[in-house]
Amino acid sequence: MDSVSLSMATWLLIAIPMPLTVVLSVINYFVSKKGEN
Amino acid sequence: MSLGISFAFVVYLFIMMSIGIYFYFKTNDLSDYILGGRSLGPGVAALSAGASDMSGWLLLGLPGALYASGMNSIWIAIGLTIGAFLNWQFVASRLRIYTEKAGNSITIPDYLENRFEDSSRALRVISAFVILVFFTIYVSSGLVGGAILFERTFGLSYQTALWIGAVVIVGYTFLGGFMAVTLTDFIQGILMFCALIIVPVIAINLTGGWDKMIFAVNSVNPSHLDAFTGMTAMGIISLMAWGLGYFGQPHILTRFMALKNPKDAPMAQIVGMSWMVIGLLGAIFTGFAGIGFLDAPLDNPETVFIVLTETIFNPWVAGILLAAILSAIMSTIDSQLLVCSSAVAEDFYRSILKKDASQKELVWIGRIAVLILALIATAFASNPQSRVLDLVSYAWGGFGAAFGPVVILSLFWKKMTRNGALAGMITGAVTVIVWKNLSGGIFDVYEILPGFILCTLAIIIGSLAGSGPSESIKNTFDEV
Repeated sequence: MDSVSLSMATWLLIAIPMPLTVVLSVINYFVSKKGEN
Repeated sequence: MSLGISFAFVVYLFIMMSIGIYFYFKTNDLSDYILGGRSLGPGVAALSAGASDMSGWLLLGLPGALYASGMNSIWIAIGLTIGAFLNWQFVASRLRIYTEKAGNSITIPDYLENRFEDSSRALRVISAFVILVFFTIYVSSGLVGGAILFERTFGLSYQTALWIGAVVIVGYTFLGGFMAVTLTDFIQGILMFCALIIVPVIAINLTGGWDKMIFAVNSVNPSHLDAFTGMTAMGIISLMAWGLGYFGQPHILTRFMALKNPKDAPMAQIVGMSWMVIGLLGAIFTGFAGIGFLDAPLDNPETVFIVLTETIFNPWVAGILLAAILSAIMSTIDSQLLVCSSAVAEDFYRSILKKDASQKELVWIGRIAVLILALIATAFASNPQSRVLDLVSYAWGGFGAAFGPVVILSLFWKKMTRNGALAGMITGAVTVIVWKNLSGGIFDVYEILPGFILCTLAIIIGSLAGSGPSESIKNTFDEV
């Protein structure tokens, strides 16, 4: 059973682009806050 | 039909109608009705944009696609996520500021006319026309989705289910306008979000955990675990291209315009993107959990969320979770109806027929427009064989290609002119319609992609060919 898993490429597709947009949004928020001050 | 499910539905619909009636008494002028007088905080704006964006597709279509063909359906989710992110990042705040500078515009046609100081009314009328055509189709496809859900849940006939759904949705849009729609969208957004976390997590747990689920999926079909199975480069590009549609969806863009303060956009972006990513992942794993959890294959894969919910939860909880599907459908249709009503009241009635129309009159014209359009859309939807997904992709592509490049370039390119905008809008819409009717080879690419590219080219050529924008247009651009 251990050998069965999502393919590595599929995992990377799920794990990188989607959460990355949230991370970038958070960074954008702090950058814009800093710009205001 | 169980008592618990019916009760949850009735309570839910009662709350939605009450919100509509409450705001009926608080709506004084057209700007209130159409845009809520630009009063949205970041949280409400973000969830409302998300909920009106994600139709029944999020709870029925995407889980169904995952259930039927596995992980290769995630491409569209990735394309949409990237598109939504870029829209928040680059369009939201600037569009909010520019629409206020450009004659305090409250609709997209209004904005385009003021942005390019177009006294001919051509931009306004053509864009309002595009909106009416594509949204009538879009709304009718949503009504079909609602009818199917009511039909299934209450055991009603298709026609009865269709009319009940239409009366409720139109009811609160008609009465309450934008504030009712955004507030109900907000509640609906939260409901969808919770349902998309609870259903897959419990289903995966009941299957025996993540490893057991993967094992079960593998035993059904090992290729379901791979996002690249059966995908060609053209297929991947087509699915990812859905993301381009965001820049041109009037019902989503108006949420940006309604932000109380443009400085709230980054906060709204965090809320909006988190909601979207978690919702999409929830939908993906709902479909996946369905493969592992349900023994007999489903006749209609798109019912996987409904069947899982009915199987796992007691009817009282299931009723609330199923109301999330109704939420998804309703929150999209109401926003679209509202944009149509603004196109009729603001862009046709006030600008062409009666320039000195009073605010009260305009609100009522808007309301009557909602009613008439809903009737036309319901008539379209009355054929139970109507194909939902085809129509949705058509309208999404049409808006993305006709308005997307126009909105982006109007915000960022100083040399863009009215003629460029007109050329782009018409080229984009025509390309989508023509491409849709051709098939084979390159014509199998989703029509939004060629439409978007040709629209952009037409804007650039149309703008550079003329004498360039006037000084006052350039000055407004510099002020933004």
